Parts: sequence; C-alpha cells; structure tokens
Amino acid sequence: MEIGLALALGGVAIAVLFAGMGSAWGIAIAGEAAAGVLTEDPEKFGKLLVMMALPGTQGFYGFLGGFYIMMKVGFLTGATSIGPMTGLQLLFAALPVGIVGCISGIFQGKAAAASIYLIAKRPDETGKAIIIPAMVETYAVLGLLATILMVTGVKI
Amino acid sequence: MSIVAMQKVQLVALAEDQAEIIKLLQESEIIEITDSSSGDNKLTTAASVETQLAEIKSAVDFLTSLESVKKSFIESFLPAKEEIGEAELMAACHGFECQATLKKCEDIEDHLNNLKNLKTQIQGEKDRLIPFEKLNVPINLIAPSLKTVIILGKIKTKQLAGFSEQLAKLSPASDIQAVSQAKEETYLVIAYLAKDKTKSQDFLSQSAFEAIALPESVRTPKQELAHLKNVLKKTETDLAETMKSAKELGRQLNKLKYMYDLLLEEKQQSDIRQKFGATSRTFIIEGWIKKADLTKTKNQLTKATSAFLLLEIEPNENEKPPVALTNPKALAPFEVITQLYGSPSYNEFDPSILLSFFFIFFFGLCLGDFVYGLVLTVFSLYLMKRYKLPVGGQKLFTLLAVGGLVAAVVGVLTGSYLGFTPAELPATALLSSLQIIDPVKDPLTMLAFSLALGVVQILFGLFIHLALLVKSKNYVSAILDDGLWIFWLSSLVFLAVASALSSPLAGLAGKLSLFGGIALFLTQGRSEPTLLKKGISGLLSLYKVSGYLGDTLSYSRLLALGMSTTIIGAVINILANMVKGTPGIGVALMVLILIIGHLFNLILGVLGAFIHSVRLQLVEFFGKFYEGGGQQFRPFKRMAEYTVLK
Repeated sequence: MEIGLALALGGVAIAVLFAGMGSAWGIAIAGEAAAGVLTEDPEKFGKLLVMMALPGTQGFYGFLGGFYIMMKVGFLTGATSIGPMTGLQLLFAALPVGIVGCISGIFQGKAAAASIYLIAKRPDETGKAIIIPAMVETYAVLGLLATILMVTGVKI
Repeated sequence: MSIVAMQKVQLVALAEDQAEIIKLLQESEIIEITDSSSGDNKLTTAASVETQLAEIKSAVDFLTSLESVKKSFIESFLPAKEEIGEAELMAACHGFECQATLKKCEDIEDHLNNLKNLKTQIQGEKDRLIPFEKLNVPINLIAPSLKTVIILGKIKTKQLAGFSEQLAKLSPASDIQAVSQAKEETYLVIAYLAKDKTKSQDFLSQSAFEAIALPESVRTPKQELAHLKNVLKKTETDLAETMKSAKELGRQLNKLKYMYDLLLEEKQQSDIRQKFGATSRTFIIEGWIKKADLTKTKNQLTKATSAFLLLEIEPNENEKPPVALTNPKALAPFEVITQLYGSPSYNEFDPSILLSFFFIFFFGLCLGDFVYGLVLTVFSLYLMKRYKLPVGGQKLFTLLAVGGLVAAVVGVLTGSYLGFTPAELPATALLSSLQIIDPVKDPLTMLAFSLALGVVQILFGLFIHLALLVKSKNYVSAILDDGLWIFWLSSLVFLAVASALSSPLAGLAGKLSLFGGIALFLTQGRSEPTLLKKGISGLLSLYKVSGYLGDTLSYSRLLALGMSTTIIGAVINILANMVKGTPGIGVALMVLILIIGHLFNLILGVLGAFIHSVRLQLVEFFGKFYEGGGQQFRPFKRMAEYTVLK
C-alpha cells in the first residue's frame, strides 16, 4: 500500500512546489520594479515592501494545502497506510492550489509591479494600489479553498 | 447621510492685511481655496526659494546619513516628525546662519568625497606596487630606452612556460624575469630590443599577459610604498578629522530642518497667492468652507483685521463642492475604507457606517486568532501613543486595534490560540467550552457561514439601492428591479438551504423562486420597444444571477484566510517542537523559530485580512449601490517635512 502514500506525497509536492514557484516569480517581478523606484526614492521602502509581499501569499497557500494533505494522511505523526486510489484522489486535490497558485502568483507580481509605478508617481494612492493586485489573488484563494474542500471530502 | 454641507465663499480684504490673513487661514485649516485669479498677473514663487529648499534638503540628507543612530525598524516605515511649538521653532531659526552652515556642509561633503577618492587611488597604487617591491631600481628608470623596451606585467603562472618560449622564438634577444609570485599569477619584467617592438607588442597584446603601469616616481618601489603608506596614514587622519567636524556640524541638523519647514511654509503661502484675485488696494480669496464653520471663520478673521468682507456666493455652473465626511467618533475610522474607493459625490451619501460592521467582522474572521488579535491591538495602541500619526494613520490603526479585538474573540470561538487548539493548552475544559466550531476539522460549516454572510451583505446592498430609489421617488424601479431581485435571490437561497436539509419546505421554495424568475422575465425588458425585444432582454436579465452567485462565492475567502492563519501558526509550532531536541541549541532554536515564524505569520495575516476585507466592501458591497467620484475636501494648511506644530 506504499504507492498510495507516495501519490499523496506527490500531491503535497505539487501544491508546495508550483505555488511556491509562482510566488517566487511574482515577487521577483514586483521586486525588480520596486528596486527601480527605490533608486530614485529610497524613502518609499516601507510602502513598496508591502507591494512586494503581496504575490507571496500563493506560496503560503500551497504550503498550507500541502500541509493539509500531510495532516490528512497523518504523515508527521506516523503515517497510516492508504490505498492507491485514495492517494491519487489526494494528488488530484492538490492541483488547484498548486497550479492556480503558480499562475496567479506570476500575474499578481505583474499587477503589483504596475501598482508600484502607481505609488512611485502618486504616493497618496497607496491604498488603491494595494487593492489592484489583491484582485488577482482571489483566484488563488479559491484554488486553496477547492483543495481544502476536496481533501476534507476524501475518505481514508 | 454624513456628508458635510459646504458653502462657497468670497473673502475680500485689504492688501496690507494679506500676509496675516494667509497665516491665519493656514493655521485654522478651514478653507479650500479655489483659483479666482484673472490669470494674467501670475506671481511666481521666487526660484531662489526652490533652490534654497533643495540645498537645505541635500544638506539634511548628508548630515542624516552621517548620524550614527540607526532608525528603528518602525521608524523606517513611519518617519516620526518632531513636535515643536511655533515660538520655539521661530526662536531656533532666528539668528541661525543658514547660508554659512550650508556652505560649510557643502565644503565638508566635497572634502570628504575628495579624501575618499584619494584613499581609493592610493590603495590602488599600493596594490600595483607590492608585487614589484623587490625591484631595487627607481621606478622612473624602468622605462624604454633608445635600444630596448621594458614592460612590467603579470601572467597566469601555468601559462608562463609557453609564453616565454613563444616570446624567445619571436624576439631572440628578449629577456623575462619573474619578480614575484602571488597565488596563481607571476609578476614579470620583460625586456626586448626596440627593433622587435612592433611584433613583440602585437604578440603581447594577443597573449594572456597583462601589462601593469607603476605610478611615476623617482623612488624605488620599496621607497614608494613606504611613502604611500605615510600619505595614506595622513589621509586617514584627515578623513577622521573631517568626519569629526561633520559630526559637529550635525548638531545644526535640527535647525536646518526647522529652517526647511519654515521656508516650505513660506513657499505655500506665496504659492496660494497665485490663486487670489486682486484690485489695486484689495485682494480676493474664493473657496469652500464647511457651512457650520461660517461663524468660526468670521471670528478667526476678526483676530487679524476688522476690514474684511466674507460673502456667501453661488458656485460656478459646473463646479462641484468638495466632500468632507463626518461621522460619530467611534465610526470615523471606517471613513478610511470609503476614501480608498473614493469620496462619495456631494449629493450622494457616506457609506462608512453601513460597511463598518461587516468590515470589522470580516477582518476578525480572516485573522481569527486570540493571541494574534491581542498582539495587533496592543501594537496598534502603542504606535498611536508613541508616534504622532497623521489623521489617516490614526484612523487606520484604530481600525486595526478594534479589528484585533474582534479577531481575538473569533479566535476564542474557533479555538485558535497562537495556532494551538484548546486540547494542547492548559485549561482545556474551559477553552473547549468556549469554542463553538473548529474550522480546520469542519470547514464545510464554516464555508456555509461565510457564504451566508455574503448573502446577507449582498441583499443588504440591494436594500440600500432600493432605499435610494425610493428616496428619489423612483418607485417603479425600486419595486420591479431591486424589489424583485431581492425576492428572487432570497427565494433561491431558501430553495438551496431547504433542499440541502431536505426540508419539506423545498417545494414551497421552488414555487417562490419560479414565481420570482417569471416576474423578472416579465418586467426586466419593460424599457424595450417591441414585445420580442422585451421578452429577450427579460430572459437575458436572469443571467445576472450568475454575477450574484460569483459575488457570494467570493466570500469563501473568509474561511480560507481564517484557516490559513491558524494552520500556518500550527505548522510553526510543530516545526519549533521538532527542533527542540537538537542538542545544545535546541531551546534557543525553538524560541527563534517561534518568534520569527509567528511574527511573520502575524504580518502576513494582518495584511491579507485587511486587504481582503476591504475588497469585499469595495467590490462586492459597493458594487450594488455606491458610485463615488467626489473630490475630497483639502483645506489650506501647513505642510511640513520634519516638524509638527504643537
């Protein structure tokens, strides 16, 4: 029955891996923009740091999804053995948070970079600038939610 | 509801009182001045003021960069302004030799830069000389003569043999001497006959050999090195001394800052003059004040002069009054969220109160941890007490402080204490009895609750729209649009709930929703001209239900965000527990992971909770009824960079 556990761990890996990559990529895009703005105006560091952190949530959602699967199969507390089909179900359950997290992370990074330029020109509008990338994040939240609901529904 | 009534006014006073009146208006922050100048007699702010401001700014930046006190982490986000009385500020600036200080500052900065450059240069020369220290010949003698060429340089040691061989082949009378050897490189003196110059030079430039030019000097490399060492030492002492005098100058930093703010204030005053109209003896200010402030304004002006006229005038045809919001003190912080979307227009209403409950509750649900909530509240209160925040910041942190309390309550109800569940804590029995739901174990119930909140807020939004239509006496739209939609959506929710619980009421709910759907189909196309078009557009309008469905699902983020804070907190605890067993540093490592991890999770959680709760208000809630688009009221007031007047 080890194959079941392996598949479940594959799911954990997908969730953490892809969502993490998306966040890393997105933060890099936002970071490049922020570094450019900082050369002109280092005082904006605080505001820009927030903008750079925004695409970082996907990585956490992925980690969260992965961890939820690990808890489900009791991996950290001495794994229970699970059937191959159950493992496969958990693997599929990991896809939404992993893949949506990856792509939304990258695109949220782009939106954050655009908002960073907005802050560079109009620092008063920081509030609005923060909301814009957050619109992208909605779908990562939905992905996480789908994963959590699917994992909860899987019977072990 | 709570938009302040505005009055456009015209103030006419004598030109000789102008300065005093401007000062008074600036202090009382009472009027937003509009442009009433004729446009042809524009006074421009003296360019010298701008230059002076820039000069002081650069001096302040320079002196600040030398200050050894590092800013605290918080201050790098919230630059603290110094509180000072006006008299004190004036006294400090009076007799302060600004120009002299600026000059001195500039000199010191130049001198420092020169010395730093010199130091780098000497360092470079030293580095080039050291490998050739053994050459016991004055440097100026190591030079090409009529018959021979001498070149110094270096080459990778492993390429040396091949290099010598090739050079010997090319120019038989050449000579290569290795002077010294560093890690992978050998330093060479190469001599060849002047007649072989061209081909040798070609060969050298193509080979891996790298020529080195020594600084010009009549001394031998060793003597030159000793000499450079002396110069370097002198430069360093000089540098230290200049730094010392720069630091001494740093004591003037405060005065420079005061001076800057004072000049800035003057600049604002002269800038605002450009908006004034004028006759030969009088000047005219037009602008907006709050209606309630009319008498206050008159009283204030009387302090300066009795020769003035304050007239209430009609605004121009296309001119819209600026918008100031007023709310009871407890609810005023929620204006921040309305302002994020944009001020309401003057004849709309202020939705801050309507969203307050939803926002703060959603924030609490998203953060949802007892300890995080308390920490956030305490931290926000501390910040507000410790730093003099601008009004906006004050409101924001009030929101966070209250939100933290709600999050703490939610944390108790959902059993989340720094990521620990009641079962893992002492007083389990008590804490468990307070817990009403565990979202981690039972996410479906929590999801249903989140969506239910969404349904409530969306229907509430539609009700507000209905109320607005009724107020504007548009009864037909109120009943046929909002009324029917509210009815249909409620019946659909009723149907969904009833069938989910397989309740016998499902049949009734089904009939109600069928009725609602048909009613909408019959009424939504009423503005179309032909019967066919009425039917089609009535049918299409039902499709709007997918929009409402999407809006409702959007509230599922309340569950997801709340869970993520709790679970990540729990993961941090598990990780910390894992490293506890590490021999020697186990406990220290555990504490480190706990502190950094939870701090990180807290910041991320607060950021997410705030952004997403705001979003639900701006997109899902405001979308139903709110338009916005007003200009915020911005009274003429003192804007300073470094100081706040007491």
